[in-house]
Amino acid sequence: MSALDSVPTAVSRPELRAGEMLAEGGEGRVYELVGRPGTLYKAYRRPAQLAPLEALIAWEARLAEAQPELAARVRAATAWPQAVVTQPGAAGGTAAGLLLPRAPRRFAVRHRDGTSRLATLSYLTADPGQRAAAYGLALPAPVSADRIGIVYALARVLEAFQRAAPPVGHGDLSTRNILWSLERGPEVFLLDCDSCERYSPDGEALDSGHRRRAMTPNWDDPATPAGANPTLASDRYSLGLIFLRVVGAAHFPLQRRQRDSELLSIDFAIPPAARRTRSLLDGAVVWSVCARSLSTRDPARRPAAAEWVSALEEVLDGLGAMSAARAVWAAQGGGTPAPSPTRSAEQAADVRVRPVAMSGAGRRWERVRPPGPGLPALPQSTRPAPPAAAPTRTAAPAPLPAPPSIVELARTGLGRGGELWLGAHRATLASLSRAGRRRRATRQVIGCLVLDFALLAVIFYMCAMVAGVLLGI
Amino acid sequence: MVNVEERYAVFPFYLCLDASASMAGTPMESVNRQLPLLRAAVGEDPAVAEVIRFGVVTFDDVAHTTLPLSDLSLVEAVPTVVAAGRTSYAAAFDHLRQTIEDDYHASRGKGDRWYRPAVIFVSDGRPTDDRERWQSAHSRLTDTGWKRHPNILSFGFGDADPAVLAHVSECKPHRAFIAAEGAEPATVVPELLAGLIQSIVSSSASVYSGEAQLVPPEVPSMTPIPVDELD
Ligand SMILES: Nc1ncnc2c1ncn2[C@@H]1O[C@H](COP(=O)(O)OP(=O)(O)OP(=O)(O)O)[C@@H](O)[C@H]1O
Repeated sequence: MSALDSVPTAVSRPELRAGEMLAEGGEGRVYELVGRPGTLYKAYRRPAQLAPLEALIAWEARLAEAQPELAARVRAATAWPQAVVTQPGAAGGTAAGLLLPRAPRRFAVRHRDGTSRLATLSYLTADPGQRAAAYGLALPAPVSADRIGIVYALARVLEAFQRAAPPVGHGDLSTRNILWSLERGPEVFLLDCDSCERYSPDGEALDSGHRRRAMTPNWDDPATPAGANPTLASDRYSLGLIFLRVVGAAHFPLQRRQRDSELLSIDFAIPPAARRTRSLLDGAVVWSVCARSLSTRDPARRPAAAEWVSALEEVLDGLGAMSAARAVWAAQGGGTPAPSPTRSAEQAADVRVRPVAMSGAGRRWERVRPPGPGLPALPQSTRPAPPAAAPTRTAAPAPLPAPPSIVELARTGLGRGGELWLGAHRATLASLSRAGRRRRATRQVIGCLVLDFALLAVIFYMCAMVAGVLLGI
Repeated sequence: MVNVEERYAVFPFYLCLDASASMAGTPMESVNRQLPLLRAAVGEDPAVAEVIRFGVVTFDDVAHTTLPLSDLSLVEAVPTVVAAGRTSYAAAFDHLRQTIEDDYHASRGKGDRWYRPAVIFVSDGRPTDDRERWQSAHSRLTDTGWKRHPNILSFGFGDADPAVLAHVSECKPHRAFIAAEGAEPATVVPELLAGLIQSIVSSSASVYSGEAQLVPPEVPSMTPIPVDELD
């Protein structure tokens, strides 16, 4: 059954009973509908052109017939317009608003004060420690499977946009327009899809070349001149930037430098846990896909979302987290493994992205080098074989190097433990010395006391063991 | 080279609030009701909070830092402001200069880069210190030889003097605003703070473009004080 069977694609405004206003955006107000909990009404400030909106609604209906697997992704993960709302007596060819599916409840976060807010990407695009302190949220660590899974989910939605005929571009993939959830595994939900644009195969805007579609300042494509509309290639830039910002959990202020034609060399920090992951080592496909996405030299040659899907699947596989990929498939109406990523011969001339590891004490950045002999075993691939039609992975199996020595493990373990202990005590001292955070500080002090007590107990136990042996008890 | 440690430069806003006796009652109650809303509106939106730093300086006979310059997402409650005493503009300007200088060095130490700070100066009266004293304090604050000199927007109601406010804003057009005659503080103050929230949110968006702009608050019941052009 397509959306067309259940919902008429045009509704007259008087037939709707708008409920509470949820939000006010630049273009319009978004209302709940009485008696229709899953649907929202977006009322435009000024009547919009009807034809482009109808074309978008029809685009999805046609996709459902031609490529149902792609349409399922769009339906599961976007607020794709369902129907236009017209005002009787208004000028012909105009729409007063739209009906949209409401983002499911799980795309929300609950702040410490109990208020619930849409889970926009901005919670993920900075140091999770800061966000935890600010809002009391537990957020996934940088370069974790959860974060990579979220970008993977987004890449699969954009793949559907780009593989459809005609392809569509969102044009404003910014923090406010992308929601995320981890409740059922990594998921995204795209808002503001009524400003999507259909393109001809050579990148010509089909519907609204004359309509102004602005990108959000720090999420814009530096290859488009100021004041110009985003292009079909702009989403490809956005995907690269979102990977850096969400997976790296940092700001990466790139655009102004790129507009000034600076050559970019981006150092991407890999935490110790992921440092031996083959698919994240210097020279891995994901870094060249990222660099080419961010390039401003020839936007049309930026990698398609499908390349990201392959590259990220390989990263998830390398982290032993194919379960995250499977969760994404389940949430988006099904899926199968993507073909293994192939290394493109192309390189970005203006951007380089390389993984670096920060070495503990000295805060010195080092390159994450491909494994040599003596590195620990790589996790076995748990990735199911791609379907027969897709080329299978031909890379030779990785040689299994020797496991790390016990001493080395103990050393790094003790080092990390010491860092954690110091960190916890420092944070407590910092809270104590700040007015107005007494409850938090108390909690932290208690935490530290418990930790210290446990440590003392362990040390005492170990001393007793040694002493016991020495004394012959 | 760009790495994870590089952050957006931050935009510091100082609300410099007249807390002299004449502000007691409705105006101050209104301020104390509105400041938590400002904290929530800015602090609860990570995309705004991460590039804004906000502090409150109040002044009567002397000036105090009521809220040290902070990332509002990390502030749990804004202290309440109590009105008392006279209206020393000199104390306010001297304190601002010192505070901005200290905050700047503290921020630099933590790796933050700054845009030029903005001061939102709000007064319902005339300076009670003598003209020479507050004007010389003002010229130290606005001295262009001092790298951190702020942009000052000033807002007046009650007995505030348009000419004085224009001076506070260095006679720059669209920097000084005055409430209509007889406008109630109970309407002006909430409007002003709502305007300030909007101004901070819009300014934060411009931070991301790499060219921060101070977007003046829109306060419907206030009008810009005309500034004559010099020949
Ligand atoms: N499908 C949805 N589910 C839940 N909330 C939504 C949905 N669509 C929109 N909203 C809310 O309404 C706000 C405005 O929506 P939207 O971005 O579509 O409007 P807009 O006028 O195009 O905004 P702008 O152009 O400023 O981004 C969103 O930020 C969000 O808070």
